[in-house]
Amino acid sequence: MAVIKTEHLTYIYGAGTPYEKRALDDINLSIEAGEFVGVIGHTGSGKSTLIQHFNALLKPTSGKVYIDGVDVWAAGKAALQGFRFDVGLVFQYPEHQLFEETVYKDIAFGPRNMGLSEREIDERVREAAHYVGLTEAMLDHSPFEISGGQKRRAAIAGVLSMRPKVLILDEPTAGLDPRGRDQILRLIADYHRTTGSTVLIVSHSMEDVARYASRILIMNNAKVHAYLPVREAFSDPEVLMNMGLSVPPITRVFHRLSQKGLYSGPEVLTLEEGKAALKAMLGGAKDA
Amino acid sequence: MLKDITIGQYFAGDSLIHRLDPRIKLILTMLYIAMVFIPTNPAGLIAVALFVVACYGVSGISLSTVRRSLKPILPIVVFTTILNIFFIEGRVLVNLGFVQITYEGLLVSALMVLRIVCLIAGTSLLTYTTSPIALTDAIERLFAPMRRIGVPVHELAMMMTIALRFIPTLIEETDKIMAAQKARGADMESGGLVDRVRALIPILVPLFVSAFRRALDLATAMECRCYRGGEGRTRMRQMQLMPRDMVALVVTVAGLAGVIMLNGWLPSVYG
Repeated sequence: MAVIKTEHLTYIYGAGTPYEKRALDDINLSIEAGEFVGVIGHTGSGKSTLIQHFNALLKPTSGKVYIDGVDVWAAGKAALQGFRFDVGLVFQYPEHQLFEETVYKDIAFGPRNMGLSEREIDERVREAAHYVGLTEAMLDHSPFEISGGQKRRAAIAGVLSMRPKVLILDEPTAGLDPRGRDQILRLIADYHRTTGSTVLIVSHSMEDVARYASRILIMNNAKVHAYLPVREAFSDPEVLMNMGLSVPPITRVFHRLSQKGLYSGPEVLTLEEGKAALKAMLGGAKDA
Repeated sequence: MLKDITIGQYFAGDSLIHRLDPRIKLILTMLYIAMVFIPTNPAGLIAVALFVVACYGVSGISLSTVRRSLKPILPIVVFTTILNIFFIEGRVLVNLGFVQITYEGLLVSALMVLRIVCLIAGTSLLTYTTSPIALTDAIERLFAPMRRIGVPVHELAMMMTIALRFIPTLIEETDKIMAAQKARGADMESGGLVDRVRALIPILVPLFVSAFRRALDLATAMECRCYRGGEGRTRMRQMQLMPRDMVALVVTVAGLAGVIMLNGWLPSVYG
């Protein structure tokens, strides 16, 4: 069943002013439960606006958003909070939203707003901290005195602790060093695997998307250009290049190879796949 | 939501009023304020109103913008009107028993409303047609003589420039933080006073942290460009008085003189 669905979703910023801008234009989308979706698109293509509709932060100018089959804006204002617990949204640079005295209290902010019992809150905070790899000792620290990467993970834990059915992250690796990036992406992938929840991740890194996502949502000029399995999405580099996007470097290498007639086979997305394909090619050549 | 605030909003343009020297515009605004407060007779104030309308015509800024800038002061206008209508004695028009409406009361309150509208509309024209940077520049230049008595004019002007520059940035930041906390179920719209104040903590703490971070970054960036206060500092944009500035000054002074003379001839409504 589709966990998130939109019908003719349109959103216009500053309607009626000289600064009017159509940020989303007639979006029809249906995201199945359990998917790991990579959302790509050039800056200003509407990605961030779209994901803020998925947890009822923005109200569509026209059109509808369904979460678990329920029309979000038909249910009344009181129900909105519930949708935000169902669809957890981690903003860009989420560490800028930390505010509590201790990491523990900050992670507990979401569950506390849900009105859970202290025992339940405690359980969820420790679980979320475990997912993101924060130690027990770190929970008592002030969120302002831990390192940048730890802050980011604490902030992500603050959303995980709500146990959302859908987890959306807006460029979770922006501004991190390579190791920090890998850690964040791996923890998200682990979370996806262990909980079976739906994950959407906005990213500018085609490599990351190719490596972790099962499907790709390509946004272009306020519209959904395509929503399809990863391998198909990267099968035509030209189209992506024209939208100011790209394909992973390794995919490009194998594209060139196949253009020269040196490689024929499925799309290569990761270094591991590339290695295997190369080995097979070389092995095959030896046999010949 | 927060984006709707329009205090001191600048509309870029190329009209005669836009091109006037900001120092002159500042002085003209002072003269204009005098002009608004002098008339004690409706005719004099109507003349002032016509002057403002003419200025708006020249500036190319629509009068609907003025309407929007007047909206926040509507409660004040209504309040003073009501006070004036009911509490000024004179020829009774309507008698409601415990209060009475007088001819003089109506006249005084009409004058008061027109005065407030003229004041807001006229002074708004300054910020509508002058960029905040030009404005603080002008303030710095006009108040430069005060340096001699130990007023840190340059530093004050720089602080003002920076503050103005960061208003939109901080508004955007606030919007972002609010969205992020709402995504974690923060409820800012219901509950009693205590609940609402408490709901501000998750917004204000990150906002302060980010404001301090930005301040430090800005200080570093300024030092990297060798900023060290106003001592011996020269300017990229030199202000130079043009003939049009003189014309504007003469017109406004003539207007002020006209209003003063008109006021001498006409009877005062304040008796």
